[in-house]
Amino acid sequence: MTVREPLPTLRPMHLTCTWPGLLDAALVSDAITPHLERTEPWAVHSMFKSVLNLETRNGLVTITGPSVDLLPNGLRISSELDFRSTGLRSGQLVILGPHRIRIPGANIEIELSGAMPWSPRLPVMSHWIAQARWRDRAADMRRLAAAAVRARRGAGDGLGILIDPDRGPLVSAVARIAAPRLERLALAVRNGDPAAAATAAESLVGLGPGLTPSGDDALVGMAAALTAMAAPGSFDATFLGAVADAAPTRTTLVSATFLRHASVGEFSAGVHQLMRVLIGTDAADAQVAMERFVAYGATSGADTLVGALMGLDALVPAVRDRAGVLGRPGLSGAASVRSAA
Amino acid sequence: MTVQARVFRNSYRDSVELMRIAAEIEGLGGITRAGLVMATPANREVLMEAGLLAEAALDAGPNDLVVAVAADDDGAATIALDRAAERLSGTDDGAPADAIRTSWRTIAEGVADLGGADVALISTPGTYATAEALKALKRGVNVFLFSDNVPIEDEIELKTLAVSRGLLLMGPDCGTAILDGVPLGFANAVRRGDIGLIGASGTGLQQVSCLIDRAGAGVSQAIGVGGRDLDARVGGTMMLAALRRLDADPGTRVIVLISKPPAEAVARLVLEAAGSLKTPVVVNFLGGDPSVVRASGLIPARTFEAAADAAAALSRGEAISDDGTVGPSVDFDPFGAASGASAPAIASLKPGQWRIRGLFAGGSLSGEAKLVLAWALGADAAKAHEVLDLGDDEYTVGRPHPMIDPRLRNEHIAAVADDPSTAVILLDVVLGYGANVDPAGALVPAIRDARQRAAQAGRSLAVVASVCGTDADPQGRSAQEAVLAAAGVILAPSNAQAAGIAASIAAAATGRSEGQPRHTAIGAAP
Repeated sequence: MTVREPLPTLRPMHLTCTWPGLLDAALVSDAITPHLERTEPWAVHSMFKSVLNLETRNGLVTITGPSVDLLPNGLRISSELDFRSTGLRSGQLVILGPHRIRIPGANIEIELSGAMPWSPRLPVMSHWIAQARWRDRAADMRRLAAAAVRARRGAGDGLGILIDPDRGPLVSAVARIAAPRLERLALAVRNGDPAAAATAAESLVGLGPGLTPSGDDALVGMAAALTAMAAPGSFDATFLGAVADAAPTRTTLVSATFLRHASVGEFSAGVHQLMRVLIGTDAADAQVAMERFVAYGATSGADTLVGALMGLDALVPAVRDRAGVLGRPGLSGAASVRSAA
Repeated sequence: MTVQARVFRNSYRDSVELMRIAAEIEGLGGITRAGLVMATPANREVLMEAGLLAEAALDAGPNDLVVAVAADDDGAATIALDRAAERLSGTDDGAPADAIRTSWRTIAEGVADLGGADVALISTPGTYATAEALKALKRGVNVFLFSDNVPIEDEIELKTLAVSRGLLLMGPDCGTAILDGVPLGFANAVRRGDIGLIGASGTGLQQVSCLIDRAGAGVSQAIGVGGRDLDARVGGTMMLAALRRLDADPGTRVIVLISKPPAEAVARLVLEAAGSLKTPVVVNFLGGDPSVVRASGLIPARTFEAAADAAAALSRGEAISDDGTVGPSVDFDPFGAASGASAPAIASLKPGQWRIRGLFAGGSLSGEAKLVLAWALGADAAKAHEVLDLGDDEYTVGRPHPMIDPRLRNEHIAAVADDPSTAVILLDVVLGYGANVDPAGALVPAIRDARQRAAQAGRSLAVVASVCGTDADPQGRSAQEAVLAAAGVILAPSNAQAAGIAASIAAAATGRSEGQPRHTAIGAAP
């Protein structure tokens, strides 16, 4: 035999996959259920370790393994699969059948009949905020967020650095460009000026590295704050719809999809938890939750956190004013951003 | 100073990966700045501010990736852009550049990186498998082809090429091999030794190798050839090639062939080739005619256990005569080991219970069990019993194989427990790499539940099983057997003996009720 002594690459325990592969969907976002009932074919868009993006007429539908956060456009399968080594190629035809998604080119089928529905719609939390003493809580949350971002420093030049009160001058071009635009957005929201908010938001779309550029992630965070703080007579967040409409020509398809969902109040499960932690309705250890959230992607978690904190700072005083609880709006949230400009 | 850029259209990469690539190329000599961003209008602005907006990036769109560098000269810029392209073309697993890589995007890369790798394991969907196998063979690499759904024409082409290059093409749909002690696919941790196995049957190879291990002998190589190798169209190409390889292997002193009975012309070819070797060959053509094997000067074994025992005896230097009368029995008495183990189960059966329900994960093991039942009970009477291969495509379409996922078999156990004619549930429990991490533990709740359901209906159920595995397997044979024994399962040391016990229980149930088949051939195999 010429077969040599044990090869270091042989890992037979991994050989548990037979083809054709049938994957069971475990959870499916309500937001994509209507798309699954249509018949026009989709195409494979992109593959990652536990993520498979499928391109539809309405943006992307994302298939993920159990290790990935539930996404607003997502469908979670019950087992882990490295989609990069399954014979999938960008552009392959995806066929929708009754209770099944089929990708014949890769012999992959996803059975949908057992999937539980999951709602990506973020609930309104504004009624909590008067009790939450946001001014005190905001300082704590910013401190924890800054610590979490600092611990991830070196992970890239996103916008997380804008939270840090002890940061030096902004080295990153992205942060330098984004900071004044973010401030303009926050100011517009605080002043209840949708036209100015739309202009500022559009200037952030597609800004920064990665599949979901930092500016987009911050906008998703801002949208989450606007959704959570919605209240009768509160700031009109419909400007986000116009931003989402323009996004496909200004940012990646992945990011445009998330912006579309965010504009109608739909977010990943991670964003849901982030908002509960920030507002204080989640008993989870805020520091642990913040660290976990900031670890999403290279900078996506931190960028979203920046947007959410700025949004809450801009919106909470208005809510409290209307409630007649605490008087004059606090400006604490704007401080870090202003100094970044 | 020069600024250059390259655009990768519709390129989607994880941002962590992009940052790592940016850091790597920024560290190259002569590079002052590097950026990898999606070419959104906002990012083109950023590149402009950073002085990195090269002409090439001007017409890129938001779904295109731009790699831009500021370099001392054109040479340095080209090196950096080439490096980025190289990194972007690979499947990145997040490992730092100097770590030992454990996955490669192409066979060529893997062979080049490992320096001397000579086996490629291919488990892509069948559509792509032929192309990958061809690439491997053309590079002088043996192939373990786990993929199924490879057309037989492709199999013939691949095997012809392999033989012309002196290589092995194990498969397609090859589930098991052990090469130089390295298990591939579904295989067991067996002792190394001087017995070489060649099998067109996955669980057959597993059962024989485990029983060889239990008999104190060991395996030099176990070569799977794929279930269609002995088909008339393929002509046993790979079994013949493997025979020549093992005959020439100084580490192999005994060879065992394992297969369903081949097409007649193929059988003649294989037996002639085996008969001309200097190494003794034990032949287990399950259900085949032993006299044909004997006529070729080879040693026929009717069961996997007999094949293992004969090979172990030869390995120990014991003599076996052509008719199997000296040394261990290469024939089989289906009731040989059964009487003591089955007595209590027989006593507790109620009138009307007579049927054996074999629920198998291993295809070859279910085939062997059917044969044993036919020998024990007579071919006609055996047909009234039921032995299912739950690993067959009929059951596994869209579901994991029952060796991995116990749910399918557990559902069947529940169903047969509700049938008042069921007397015996006959099972195989396959251990080893690739198999479920705790198959016995996964079975026991279903067995307990089945017993409970039967008891509620005033019946008792006999459950008979054998464990195919070794104590060195990740699951541990003794531990698995202990779990089954604690659940009241009657355990046999081999699959054939388990089937024999089931047959003895069914035979004893004869005459207890109306409507059951009369067993006519109780006794030794013909």
